[in-house]
Amino acid sequence: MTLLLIIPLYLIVGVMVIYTIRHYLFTLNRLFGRHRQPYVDIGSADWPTVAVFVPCHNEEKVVGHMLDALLAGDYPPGQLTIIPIDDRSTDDTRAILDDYAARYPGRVRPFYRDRGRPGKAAALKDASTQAAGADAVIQLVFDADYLPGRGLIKQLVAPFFDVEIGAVMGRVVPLNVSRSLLTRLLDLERTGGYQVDQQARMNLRLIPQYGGTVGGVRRSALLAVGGWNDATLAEDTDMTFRLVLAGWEVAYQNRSECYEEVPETWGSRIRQIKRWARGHNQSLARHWWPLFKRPPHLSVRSVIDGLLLLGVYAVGPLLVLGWSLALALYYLGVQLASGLLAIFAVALYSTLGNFAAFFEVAAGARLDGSRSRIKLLPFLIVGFLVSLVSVSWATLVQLATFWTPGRRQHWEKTERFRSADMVVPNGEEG
Amino acid sequence: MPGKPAPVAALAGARQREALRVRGHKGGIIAPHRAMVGLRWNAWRFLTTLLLVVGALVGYLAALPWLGRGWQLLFLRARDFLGISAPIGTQTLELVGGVRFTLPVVATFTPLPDTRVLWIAGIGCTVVLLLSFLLPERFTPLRYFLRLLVLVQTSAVLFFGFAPDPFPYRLEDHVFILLTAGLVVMGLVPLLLGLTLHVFDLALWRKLVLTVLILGHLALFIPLNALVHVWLILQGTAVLMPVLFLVFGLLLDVFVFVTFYGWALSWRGSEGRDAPPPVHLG
Repeated sequence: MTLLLIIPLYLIVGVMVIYTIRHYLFTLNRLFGRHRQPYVDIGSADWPTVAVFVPCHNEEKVVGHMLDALLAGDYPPGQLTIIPIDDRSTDDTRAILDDYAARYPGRVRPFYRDRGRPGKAAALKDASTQAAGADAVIQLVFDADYLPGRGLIKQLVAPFFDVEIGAVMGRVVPLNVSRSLLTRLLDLERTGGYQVDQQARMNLRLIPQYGGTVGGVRRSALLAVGGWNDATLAEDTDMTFRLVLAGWEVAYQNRSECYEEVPETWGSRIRQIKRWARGHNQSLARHWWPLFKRPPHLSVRSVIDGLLLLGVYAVGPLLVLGWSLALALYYLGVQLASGLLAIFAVALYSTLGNFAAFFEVAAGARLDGSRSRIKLLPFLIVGFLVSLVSVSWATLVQLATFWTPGRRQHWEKTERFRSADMVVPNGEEG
Repeated sequence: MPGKPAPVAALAGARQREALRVRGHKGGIIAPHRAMVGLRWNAWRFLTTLLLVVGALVGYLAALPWLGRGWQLLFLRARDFLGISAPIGTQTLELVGGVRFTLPVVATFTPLPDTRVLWIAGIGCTVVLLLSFLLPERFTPLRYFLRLLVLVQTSAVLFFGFAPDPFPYRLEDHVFILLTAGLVVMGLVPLLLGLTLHVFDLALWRKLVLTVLILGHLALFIPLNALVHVWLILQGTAVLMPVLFLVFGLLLDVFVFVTFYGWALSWRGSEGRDAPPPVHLG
C-alpha cells in the first residue's frame, strides 16, 4: 500500500526536478549565453507578399486601434494585405471593418464567416484558403487587441528569408500593466516566458513556440502540413509541432515586440488559462508519440525540450497529485528516507524547486530594466495558485469527458477591457 | 597592431569595434534594446561570488553552535511569555566535519483532539469554505487559498475522527523537523544567492548586506514560527499540526528568501548608466 504511494510520488518529484533544472538552464543561458537573433538587422530587402490575418469576434473596442497600427507600418503597401476575419460578431465589429475596407481598398480586405465551426482555428483555416489576398507568401496572425509597432511586420518577415524557417514568433508585451495586481503579475509571467524562456530556446536551438499571435507561418509550409487544424483549442501549439515534425524550424524574435491587453479580472484569466490548458493538452495527446520516436532531423535535446514543452500544462494536475500523495504519506507517518537526510532532501527540493520559476521571472524583469516590478516577485504565488487550480480542473474535466460521445469543443473568447475611444500608443517602439 | 602577438591584437581589435559599435552622439553610449542585453561574467565577479558563497557558508557553519544556543534561549524566554507549561530540552546534532550544535526541544505531550474539538474544527472548515464562496471575484486568490486550507484541515479532522492508527507525530518531532529544515534552508541561502543573485551587477557590499539580512531574518523567523506552531498546537491540539506543517512551515522560509531576493534585484546595478550592457549576439 505504502509503496503504491511512494513510487508515483518519486516519479512526480523526478518530473518536477527535470522542470526545475530546465528553468535554471534557460535562465542562466539567457543571462550569459550567446544570443541567436540572426535576422534582426535586416532592414532593406526584396520583401515578399504578406497577408496579415486578424481573427475577430466582437472586437469593436479594439479592432480599430489594431488596424490603424498595421496601416501605419513601414512594410511596402503593395506587398501587404490586411485580412480581418469577422467570425459572427454581434457588435459593431463588422461595420468597423466595412468602414476600413472602404477607406483602404485593396489594403484592408475583410473576410466574413457566418457559418461553420466557431473559434480562432476554424476562422484561420477558412480565411487562409478562401480570403482574397490569402495567397501571399507569408501569413502573419495578430489578435485583435494587439498593437504592432511600425517596423514589426518587416521584423517578423525577415526570418523567412531563411528557407528552413516555417514559422516565426515575436515577443508579447502587456499594455495594460498598471490596471491591477493581476495585470502586473501577468506582465511578470510574460516577461519570464518570452524574455527568458523563448529566447533561451532560440539560443540553444531547441523548439521556440509559435504562440498564435505576433507571428506567422510560411504559406508553403502551412500547406505542406495540411493547413490550420480547427479541431484544437491551441492551433498555435499544434502548428508548432506539426511544422517541427515535418522538418521546418520555428524562429523566435525577442526584438519584435507587440503590445497586448492581458485579462484584468480573475474570471477572465481563469477562462483564458483553462482554454490554453485544454488546447495544449490536445497537442500533447496528438504529438508526444511522433516526437518521442524522434524524427531523424531532430536532435535528442530538441525532442526532450519538445516533450517538456508539450507537457507543461500537464504539470499542474501532476503537482496536485504529488501533493495529495505527500499528504497521504504524511498521515501514514512514512519516512521517505532516514531522519536528517529526509529533511535535507525535502528542504533542498522545496527551496531550489520552488525558487526556479521566481529566478526566471526576476531575471527577465531585470533584463527588461523594470527593476521596481521585481518587488512583486513573492506575489507570483498568488497567480500560480489560481493557475494551478484552473489548469488542473480543466485537465481533469477534459480527461473525464474525453470519451463522452457527442462532446463538442467550446471556444471561450477572452474578454476585452479597453475603451474604444482610448488613446493608444502609436507603437513607434516596436 | 604592430608589435603585439596576433591573439592580443585580435582581442584589442574586437574591443575597439565593440566600443565603436555602441558609441553615440558626442561620444555617448547607445544603449542596446532590452531584447539583446545580457550579463557580463568576468574574473572579478567570479572571484567575489566564490568568496561570498564560501565565506557565508563557513560563517554560517561556524555560527551554528551559537545559533542553537540562541534559539534555546529564545525558546526559554518565549515559553514564559506565551505561558507554555512545558520543559525545554535540547537535542545535539553533529554534522559531517565535526560541527556539533544543540537545538531546543519542547518536551511535552502532544494534545490530541477530542470529539468536541473535532466538531469545532469541522464547523470552522465549513464556515471558511462558505466564506470563500461569498468573497467577491477580485479576491479569487484568497478564495482558492482558503479552500486549500480547508482541504488540508478537513483531511486532519477526518484522520483524527476515523483513522484506526494513532497520529504518527509528536509535537517534539514537529518542532525538530521545522527547525532542522529551517537550518538546511539557511545553509542553502549562500549557494542559492551565488547562483542567482551574485551573478548580477550589484555592488559587492549590497550582496554582502543581503546575505546577512536573509540569514539574520531567517535566524529569528524560524524559531519564532516554530514557537507560534507550538502555542497553536497546545491551544488547538494536534488537529492543527498537518496544516501548520504543510502550509505554514518550510514554505514560509522559502518565501522569506523570495521576498528579499525580489527586493535585492530591484536595486540599481553597479555598472551604472555610462557602461553599455553587454550584448551577446551569435
